[in-house]
Amino acid sequence: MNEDIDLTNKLRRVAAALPREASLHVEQKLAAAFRARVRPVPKRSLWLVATAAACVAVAVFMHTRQTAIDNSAKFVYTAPGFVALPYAQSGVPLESVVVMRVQMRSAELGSLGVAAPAAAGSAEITADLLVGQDGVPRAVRFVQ
Amino acid sequence: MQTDSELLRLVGQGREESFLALYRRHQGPVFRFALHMSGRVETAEEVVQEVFLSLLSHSHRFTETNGNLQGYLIGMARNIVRAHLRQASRFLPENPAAATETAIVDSLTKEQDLRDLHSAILSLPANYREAVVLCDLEGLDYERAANHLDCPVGTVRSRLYRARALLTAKLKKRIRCSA
Repeated sequence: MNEDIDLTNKLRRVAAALPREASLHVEQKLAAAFRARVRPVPKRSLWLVATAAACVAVAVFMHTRQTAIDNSAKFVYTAPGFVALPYAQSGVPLESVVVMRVQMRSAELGSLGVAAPAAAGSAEITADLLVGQDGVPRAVRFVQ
Repeated sequence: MQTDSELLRLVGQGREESFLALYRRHQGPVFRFALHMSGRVETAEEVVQEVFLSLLSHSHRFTETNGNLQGYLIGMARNIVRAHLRQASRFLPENPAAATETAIVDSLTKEQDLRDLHSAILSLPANYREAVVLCDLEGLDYERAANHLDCPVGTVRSRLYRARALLTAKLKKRIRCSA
């Protein structure tokens, strides 16, 4: 019994005599390892990434817009008998169209940028206007 | 005070101060366990480093349902120490206790009996040494020691009993030899 108590006391003294904690350089090494693993992206790189993303977004937008305009123009030009009105190609893609039959004078037709047929003279001309969903006339077709 | 789980969650979000808080909270027991098991300060510090680097890499693996974080860390330290001891045994001289004793002799008092006891602890089989380190040197109760060692309480009790008997025998033998 006494031997056991003596051993316990000695074990406690051994424990107390030895270092209790790792030295500070272990903590410093671990902190450095932590920083190396979760290193934040430098601000300069963030700017580069943001700029590149903005460039890509603008390029995609322009391409989409141009394609829409091309498609609408193609639609107008391929519609039977219609002549595209100059400067009337809206940036809005042509999704739906309405054909409106109108009667107009040569001068009014001229204001749309289209010359009236010579045979029409000063008389009113019957024409079909192809109007986009935005209300802008895109093309005209003369009715015989 | 934040719990270990909260700190671990913040570590996962890249918070260095949370990682250091966890380190400061648990490095002592891990270091002492490795020191008592290996007998070398350098080895113990390497073990501490490996344990916390591993925690950093696999912080998501720990959940409180598996036990407390300290037990988890001691468990890791135990595996790493054993690997170190296996590696070291290939290069050590015939009496490993004598070789390791010199490494921390300056830390011990000049009392011969404490040096003998420390040497005797280091010469115990690893299973017995773990029980002595956790229960006698670290002062854990049997239940917590069993949790750290992943074995039944009865096993800890019997290992500790045998380890103490071996230590007493070794110390008596040394006294006889010196006399």
